[in-house]
Amino acid sequence: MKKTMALLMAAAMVLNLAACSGSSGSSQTTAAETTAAEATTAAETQAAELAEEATEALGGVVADMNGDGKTTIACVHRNLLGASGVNFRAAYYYSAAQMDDVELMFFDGNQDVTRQCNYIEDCMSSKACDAFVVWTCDPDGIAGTVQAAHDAGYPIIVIDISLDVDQEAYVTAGNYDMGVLTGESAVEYLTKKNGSPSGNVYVITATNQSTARDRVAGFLSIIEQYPDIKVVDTYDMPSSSVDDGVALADDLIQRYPEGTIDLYFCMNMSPMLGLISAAATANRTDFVLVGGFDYNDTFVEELQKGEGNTILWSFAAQDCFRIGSQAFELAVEAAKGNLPAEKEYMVPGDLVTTENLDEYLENYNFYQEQILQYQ
Amino acid sequence: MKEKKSVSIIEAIIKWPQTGITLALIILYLILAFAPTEARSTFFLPGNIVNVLRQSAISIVIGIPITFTMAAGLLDLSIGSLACLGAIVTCALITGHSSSTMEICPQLPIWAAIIIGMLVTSLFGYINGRIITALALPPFIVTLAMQEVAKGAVLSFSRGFPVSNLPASVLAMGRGTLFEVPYTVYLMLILLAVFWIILSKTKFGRHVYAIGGNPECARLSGINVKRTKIIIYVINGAMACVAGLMVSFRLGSAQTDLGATYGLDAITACCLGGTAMGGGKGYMFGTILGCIFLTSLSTGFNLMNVNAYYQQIIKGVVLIIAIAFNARNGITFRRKEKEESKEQK
Repeated sequence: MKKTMALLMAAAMVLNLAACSGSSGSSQTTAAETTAAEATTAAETQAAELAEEATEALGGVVADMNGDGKTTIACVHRNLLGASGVNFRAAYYYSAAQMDDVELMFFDGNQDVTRQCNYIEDCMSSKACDAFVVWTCDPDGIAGTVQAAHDAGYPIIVIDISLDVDQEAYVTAGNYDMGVLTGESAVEYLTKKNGSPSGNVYVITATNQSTARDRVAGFLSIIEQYPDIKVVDTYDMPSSSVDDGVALADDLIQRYPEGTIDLYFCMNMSPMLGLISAAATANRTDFVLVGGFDYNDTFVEELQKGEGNTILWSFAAQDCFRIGSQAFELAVEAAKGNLPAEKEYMVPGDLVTTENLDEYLENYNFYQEQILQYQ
Repeated sequence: MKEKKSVSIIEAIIKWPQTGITLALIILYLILAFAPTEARSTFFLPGNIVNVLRQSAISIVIGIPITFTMAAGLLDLSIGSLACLGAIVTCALITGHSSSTMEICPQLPIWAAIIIGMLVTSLFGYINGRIITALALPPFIVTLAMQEVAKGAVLSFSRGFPVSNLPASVLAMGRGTLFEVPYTVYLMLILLAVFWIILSKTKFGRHVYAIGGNPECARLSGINVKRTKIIIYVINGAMACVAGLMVSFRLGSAQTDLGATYGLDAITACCLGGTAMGGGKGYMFGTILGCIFLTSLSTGFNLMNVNAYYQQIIKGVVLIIAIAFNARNGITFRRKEKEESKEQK
């Protein structure tokens, strides 16, 4: 019985196949249909070739990536925990509001690189945007995802923290240059204090952050020119949390008694805030601080006390509003097919001292008013 | 007879829940005392001892309510974010500003601002407790979610900026000293005394242990389990605010990233001090030792200029050893007790 069934099934399959081949052989296609089909195929091939050429001309990225006729920029954010994060975001919204037909999608990774990667992948799978502005919390962790987005044709603009992936442009504060400015400010102080460029310097760095590495490199490039200025030690502080900054500052104050350190270099504002409060608690005025690299009201308050009444000699401040708006504008243009002329854009920062504080605040407050509208 | 007594003393020492952390502290201080580094001459100076106390004060203020929480078999991961929220709300109410130019709320007297700040964080604690008890959800999930809610509340209230420009009187509270000892250390000691008494001498303290030991038994014996749990979370909220203010008043500003590690640090300190993760056991003295140990470790390493990456590894290893020691201790003695009771029978 089974054999009979198998034979019947096999016969049915053979008949079916024969019928199919017969029908294709007997089907009649009109000449007009054939010509139209050939023309369509030729047009499609030509369009594909042109698109490929255009993509190659754009360095692998595609104009109007999601093909909806609008320009949508996805800004993948590191965090909103400080002046930089808040000002970058305000700059994106400010820039988007100044442009017609530009939409902004904002994602806060909140210091979580997985979350950042998920946002990018979601945007890609849903074709929600035409370009990315990426400010990452983990350059290595996000690299694969950003590279995949670029390979898929999305223009990538990297902001503040460098990424080792294909990208259209990198917009940063010129951290090395700010480090140089800070180094010159340190030499000025040491010369004033000791009569010549000499003294003991302590460097707080964060080797896991490219921005901090650049700042320290810039600072040391100046300091190393003066053999009598000694870098007593360096502390590598991987975290940017203010709690860790305060704890480290308290310990440094104990470790280095009066007269042993002339100047502390702080790669970001956490140890600087910590040292200001630790020095005030311990009534220490035998050293000064330089660095910081961001605006902070406490730094301004300190400088307003005037030279000799504060341990803050100067602070460097990156212009986050301009960095953010430049990155966003570049992303919009790249999304439209106009690739940036350069690969790297350095937005100069400011060195703020008691002498130029008022002038700096005038500019800062102007931008602050703009920022307030887009909070 | 004499031999029996000496054995029982040794047993008692080993059985003592704080033996592990005490030994760890002694070893750490011996290393610091004999290490061929600058730390040897610096660590034991009065100034540094005050420094260790000052740094420990904040973790102890967080550690106190976490001891209650863990003793009751609960968990609170939101306490760090609540510290930040309390600091931001209070400081903003004192100055009326976030950043130097952005008016975000009315300006209030310092005492009123502190009360409102504590009420806000207590309310968050109440919501934690209410959700956990009403919906019977795991505290881990609820407090993790509340951590996110509190972070969001901080950023939306402050518009992402730190609150600065605190008045001199506030800075004096955070930075002032009496007999060279910071005010914050005195505040910590007062809070410690109050909560020590509450945990060890009051009905509420016994309820906390009972709930941690066996919630069902506690309920059947007439303890209002839900209410007790809610009170614990309200205390967490209030104490988080106090810790946040201790830091902010000293810094002169309330930063939006404050307190990120407070919760986990406090849990670590409690575990080191012998408090059981599963509840039923909670030792305030052990928590103090745990906090002092973690601070001493960090300060000692900083004085020896040990790389921060290695510090993290060592802290983790120490925690594992301490927990393993406590767990092994417990198992060994439970086994011995069982054997003894069998023999008696």
